[in-house]
Amino acid sequence: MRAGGFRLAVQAAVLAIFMPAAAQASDIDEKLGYCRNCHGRHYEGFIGYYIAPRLAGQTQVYLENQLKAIGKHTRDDPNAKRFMWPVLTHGAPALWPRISKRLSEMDAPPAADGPKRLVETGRKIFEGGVPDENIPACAACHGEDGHGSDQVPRVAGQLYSYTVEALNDWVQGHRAKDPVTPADPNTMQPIAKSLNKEQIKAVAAFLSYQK
Amino acid sequence: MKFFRLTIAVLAIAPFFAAAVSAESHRNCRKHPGGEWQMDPAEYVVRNCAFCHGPGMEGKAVAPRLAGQHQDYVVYQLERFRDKSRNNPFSLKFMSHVAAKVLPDSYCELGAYLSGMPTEAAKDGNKEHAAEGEDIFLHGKPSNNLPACQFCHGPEAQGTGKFPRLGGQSYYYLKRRLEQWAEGYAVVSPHMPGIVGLMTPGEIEAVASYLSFLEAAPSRGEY
Repeated sequence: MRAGGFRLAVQAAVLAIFMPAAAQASDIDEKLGYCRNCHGRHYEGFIGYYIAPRLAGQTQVYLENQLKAIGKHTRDDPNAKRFMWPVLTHGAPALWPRISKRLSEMDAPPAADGPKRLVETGRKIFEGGVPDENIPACAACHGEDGHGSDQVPRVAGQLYSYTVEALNDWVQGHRAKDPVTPADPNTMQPIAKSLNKEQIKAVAAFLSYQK
Repeated sequence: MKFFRLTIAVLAIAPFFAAAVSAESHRNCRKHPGGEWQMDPAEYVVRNCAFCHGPGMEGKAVAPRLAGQHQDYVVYQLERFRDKSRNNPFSLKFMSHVAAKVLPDSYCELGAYLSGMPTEAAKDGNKEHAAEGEDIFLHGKPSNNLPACQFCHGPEAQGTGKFPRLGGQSYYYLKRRLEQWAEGYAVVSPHMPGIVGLMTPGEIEAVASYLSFLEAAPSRGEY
């Protein structure tokens, strides 16, 4: 039963004539409802066969940049290709700033799903980097609290397996282009490549518990 | 002194109570793989399940194929039959009392056994609609906010954990199950009713057909 589409369209049209602000809210509500299927009831992230990251409390600028990069296919990690490229072929770019703003204002409990025994090691890397290997402290860009700012994403509370996957994506050469300035090399790629497998897991575990 | 004895008594029986509660809610097979069965699971299945589900648990009429199904999914469904939260007519009529007879401690072993059984695709869907079904299964329908089934069920509908293997399941069973969510039966899955609500009958038909032709593919995880 196609319950959603037509009725919502009529409602949106009626609201658009009489209450423009409410009409605007209902069109992004519809899209945000779509996101929930994979990203979780409260956009806290979700793991099915594949992994969809937490979006709640992500920075607005980062979300907008990712949407643009996905729309232009400059973000090319396997799961972005598999899921987000088709999703955004029917996206309405005009809605992206408001969708991003709404998501940035949300909160959810941290995933808290990383192996606990790795958290202390992860904390040390996050706060102090690994000076011997020229790995900078993550906190230097992502903030002491891991909440990021502007184009630097929030990493606090992210699903453990998503952070591992994201770092490994850079190691494998995906997401090589900076979505903001595609001519420039990506900031995270050399950092991710300097980390070994255990360090990646440790940082991801630590972050999964951060609020 | 009375209070002290009462506290000791409560503490003494608490573990049994906790075990009973966990048996009724959701069993974690990693933590509680199960005790020793008095009967070999293969023999149990032949004696109690094969009459409806087929000699190789490949499915028969309205009873779905269980061979190759994931342990966590089987365990979760046995619990939902037992507590009757899975409330579509056939579940209530046939499975609630069956599930009630299987000891909860045996659920994990039964699920593990079923997940290892060999399986073949039912191939009983409509070949003409399979291509449309494949497109919906892999990509959803973004124009209608329908998510891609493969996100939870895997690229070959192999499933994992609580997300059931759909590949090769009978077209008739899959179609009926999808229709039942649209008819308002048993939530059981928090995700499926909203998703199916966005599908037309033709799309349900196409996806169920497509899935019936998929041979079993390896999944992530042990079971």
